[in-house]
Amino acid sequence: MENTFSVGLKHNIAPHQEFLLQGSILDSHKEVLLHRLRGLCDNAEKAPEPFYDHEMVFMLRGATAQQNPVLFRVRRSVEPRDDTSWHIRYLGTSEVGDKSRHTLVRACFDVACSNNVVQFLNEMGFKLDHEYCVKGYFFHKGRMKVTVSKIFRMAPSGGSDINTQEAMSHSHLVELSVVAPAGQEQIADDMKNFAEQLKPLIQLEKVDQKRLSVQ
Amino acid sequence: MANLPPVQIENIQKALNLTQKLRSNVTQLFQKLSDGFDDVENNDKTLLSEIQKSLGSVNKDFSDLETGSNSLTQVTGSGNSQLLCIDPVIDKTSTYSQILQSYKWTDKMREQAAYAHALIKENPFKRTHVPSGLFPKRIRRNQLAYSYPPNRLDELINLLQVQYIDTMNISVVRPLGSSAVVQVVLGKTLKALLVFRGIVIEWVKVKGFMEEFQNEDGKVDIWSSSRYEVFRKITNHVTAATLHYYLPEMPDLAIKSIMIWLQSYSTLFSAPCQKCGKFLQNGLPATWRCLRTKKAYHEQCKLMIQMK
Amino acid sequence: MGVVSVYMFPVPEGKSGQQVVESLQKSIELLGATKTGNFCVDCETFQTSIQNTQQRQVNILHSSDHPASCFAILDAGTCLVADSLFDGLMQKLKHYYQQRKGSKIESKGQRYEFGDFVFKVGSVSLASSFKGILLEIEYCPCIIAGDCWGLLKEMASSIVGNVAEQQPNVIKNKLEHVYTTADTMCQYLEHFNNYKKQTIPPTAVSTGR
Repeated sequence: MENTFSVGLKHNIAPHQEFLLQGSILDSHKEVLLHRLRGLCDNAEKAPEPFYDHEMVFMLRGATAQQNPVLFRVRRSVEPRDDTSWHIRYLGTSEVGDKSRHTLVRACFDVACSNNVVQFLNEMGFKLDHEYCVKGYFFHKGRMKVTVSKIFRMAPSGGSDINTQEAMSHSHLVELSVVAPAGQEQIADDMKNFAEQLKPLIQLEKVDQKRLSVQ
Repeated sequence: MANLPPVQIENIQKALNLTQKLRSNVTQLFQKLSDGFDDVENNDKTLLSEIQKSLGSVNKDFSDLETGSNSLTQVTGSGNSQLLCIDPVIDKTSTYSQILQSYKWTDKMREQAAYAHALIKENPFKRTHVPSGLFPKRIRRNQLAYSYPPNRLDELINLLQVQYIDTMNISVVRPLGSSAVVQVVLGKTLKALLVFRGIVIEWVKVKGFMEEFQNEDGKVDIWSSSRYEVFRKITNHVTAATLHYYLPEMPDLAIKSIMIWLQSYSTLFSAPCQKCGKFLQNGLPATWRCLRTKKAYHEQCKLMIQMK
Repeated sequence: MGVVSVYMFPVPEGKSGQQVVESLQKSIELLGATKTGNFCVDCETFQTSIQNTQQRQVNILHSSDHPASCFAILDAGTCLVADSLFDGLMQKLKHYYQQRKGSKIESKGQRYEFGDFVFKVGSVSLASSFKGILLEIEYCPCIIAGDCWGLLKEMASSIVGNVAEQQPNVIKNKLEHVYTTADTMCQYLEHFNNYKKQTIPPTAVSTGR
């Protein structure tokens, strides 16, 4: 029997490619941006949707050089606490591309899973690499997703109480992303147009992550 | 009919139209009432005035009809239809046979209605006291079981919650004002929904432990049945039991005893039938619990015991 | 979703698998059950590709009753229930876990419903050769295996006779807990592993695919 995944890939309907633009805004200007986004995005009549997630990054490291380490990002909602929110995210290496392409493109698999995923990955040989909490707001316009969030270090005690956690910086991370089936390049243009509308409040750009890790 | 003056025909037409109008108005009013008071955005006042308006229109239609009907005179005899039989070309029209047919039907209906009337008179299944005028004093003393204040039921439920904390999880919601909807979760076996009017159980639904009594928008759904045959069967049995335990004089006792009885369903899947000793019959477990002994029986085995 | 028991039905000598399947189907139909289509449960095994490290296995199972899900079971019995996209994740791990060649085993056949019961008569094939027969009986309204085991056994013995006496290990260990589909998949895996052991010696790990 052909499984649904291979069928999905063959007919190119399984979303597995992420288009991404990133930016950052100082905490003091966050409210202005939220206001602007609320006006631009869908469901303007509702208050922005808050989220508070805990992300654990697991790594599988091989003994030999040809085995690149594989990262699985396990995420779940802390507030509201929800046992069905567990999922694994796999991100491929991001392609910056040339000037004609407006966004970063990378492989992306979002797989919802049961709540024993941490135990499962440990037994498979994965080791916890690092973890953090993300708290912020979520908007969407059509298939575009916008998050305005702040990253916190995990408290040493391991508790997820936000008051005991230490913020990484004095600014918020802003991400504009779409996960789509392969070959839908025109979505990048839509994203660019949307990003233009947020200027000069915030500059959303494709950030070359390779260069970041070198520095 | 042709003998009637045209005014008369007009009057009949008018009366018919009025009846139709009255009917549709009354239907609308009931529709509004049954849809309930769950419209949060409208406050009570607008709702009340709306109901008042529709009641007013019903009233007006009714008095119109009454005055209209006064002007009508009784149509005596069956009119020209008597002359039909002397029509020589009787075979050409089917009117005569049709009239004969409808006469037979009317006659049959009268007969059946008479039987039904006699039967209902013999077995009154009214649940509420009707003041007969003979014992007005006694009736005033007994408070009607459905007119207890809501907190009376709350007290009772609180008591039951504490008493059966180990086996049952009981919760109360009031989605439409004063009528309480009580959900009972029995172990990991089943969920039962009891709809109360005052302190009388009016409606019962039983579903599986994994099934929900809420529809997508979070409202309580008292109508939909369980996906599983076994719980649909038990719904019937519990409904029957509510009638058995019905005690208008002591409504508290009725509810307490039905809760105790309901508890015996915690062994629904694990208790074999006490008569045949088997678990299954026609693919169903022992779904009946004896009302006195609370022993488990299959539906058919229960019938055989009762026949003895 | 209810409690499920999977039985291995032996094929007596001198009879073909097809004949036994047909006689099982007939006895289920005689009960009054109606056909409700086909079903398929398949399993693929992935193995660590490095020889000197600890050998680990991941078994990926799919069930046609849960078309959007994928069940990944480790040797220790940990079962992860995930979206079917999990297959894509396994491909990303191909330098660590590789699919064992000829390991694809599946149980395929008719699905029946009778009242609140579901029956599935599956013939098991490993690399397209017939291995045996698995009968799955599900009692949907109940979620506690300990409660309805007697009832399930009674139903099973009316179809498979003495075979119904054996209680699956998964159920034995979880009599008081809420039964889930993951437990069903563990039962299938156990049977699949038994079939594999019966016939072929463990083959060497395939290199590359």
